[in-house]
Amino acid sequence: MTKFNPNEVVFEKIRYIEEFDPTTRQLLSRLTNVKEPTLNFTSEGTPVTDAQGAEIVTFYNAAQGTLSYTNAIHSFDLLAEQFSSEKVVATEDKKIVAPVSEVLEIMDNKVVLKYVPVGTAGAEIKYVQLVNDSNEFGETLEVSAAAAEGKFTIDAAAKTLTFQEGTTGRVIVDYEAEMAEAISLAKTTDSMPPIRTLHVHCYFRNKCDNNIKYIGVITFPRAQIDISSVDVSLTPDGGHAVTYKLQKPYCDESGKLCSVFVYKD
Amino acid sequence: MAKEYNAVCSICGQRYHVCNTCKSMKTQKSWRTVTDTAECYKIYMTVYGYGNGTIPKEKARNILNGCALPKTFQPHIRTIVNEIRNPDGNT
Repeated sequence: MTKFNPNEVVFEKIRYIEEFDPTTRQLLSRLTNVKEPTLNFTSEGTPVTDAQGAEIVTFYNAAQGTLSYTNAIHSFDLLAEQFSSEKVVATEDKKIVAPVSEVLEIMDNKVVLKYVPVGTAGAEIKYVQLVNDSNEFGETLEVSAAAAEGKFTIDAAAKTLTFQEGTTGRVIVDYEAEMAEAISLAKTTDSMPPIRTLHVHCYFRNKCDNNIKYIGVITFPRAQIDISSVDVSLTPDGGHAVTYKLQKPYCDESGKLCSVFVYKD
Repeated sequence: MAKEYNAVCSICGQRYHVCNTCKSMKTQKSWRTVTDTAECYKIYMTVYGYGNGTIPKEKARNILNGCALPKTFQPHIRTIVNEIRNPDGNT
């Protein structure tokens, strides 16, 4: 039987990238829409020259690597790692307070909100802005314990704001509400991005018979998200770019930055 | 450095400084959103409760009688406070 020893193959695509905790090997996330991947390695060379300055040999050390790719769609798990924080998932017992903004038509001197506002009791919403006839900011109304000109009252449980008699038009209402079905993540200034083990799963094709598929897995035992510059695209087609710095495991005598495995499908 | 007076008490109309980013404001003094003192906030909640029908007039009057009422009131608040404090129902 001839040995399986592919040399020249056609790279088809990256299937997905998996992130593991390096110590427990728990699968933490999986990105399935990877595009524009690049893998780059650098080393510092120290040339040795003879008396005439001709280079004899170059010694390389300080090997480094980076893995960059763009996930075609945004990933909150990836964003949490880029923020060096954890994604908080709301539950019925532990809701997340999230900001809400609504523009509502005043009917019978009242508006009804979509969510129950939270905040200081009796004053869960401090200000609202009327929208004037030019569709711009109009008068600012302030919450009060009793109705008066320039004021409004709030019944949070009924999600209702009541304005003075004769108030019409639209009003911009910004408030906070508790959500049982929500997530949140925050970037802080003093946290460090986690270290992960990455497995990049891809397909190769036989150069002669493209129907023959090979599975490739490129593993990175230690990869840390590079947060020195994080660009998060806020457009539908921008994707979610990420860069990892590849590191050598301290206890690994062979000092592997990455390993490549290819096997038959 | 003197702090800027950027808020007006909803009850007594006094100007005061509020900072919604301060930790003490978020954790201990959320009433500073609308009033300058805890006492004014007590009056605020009483007037508010009386207005939406959750606090009956007599109970509201008892609460106000136990409060240190400020020297000044916003006009519309004074109207309600007088109504509450007057047992005959006249303002």
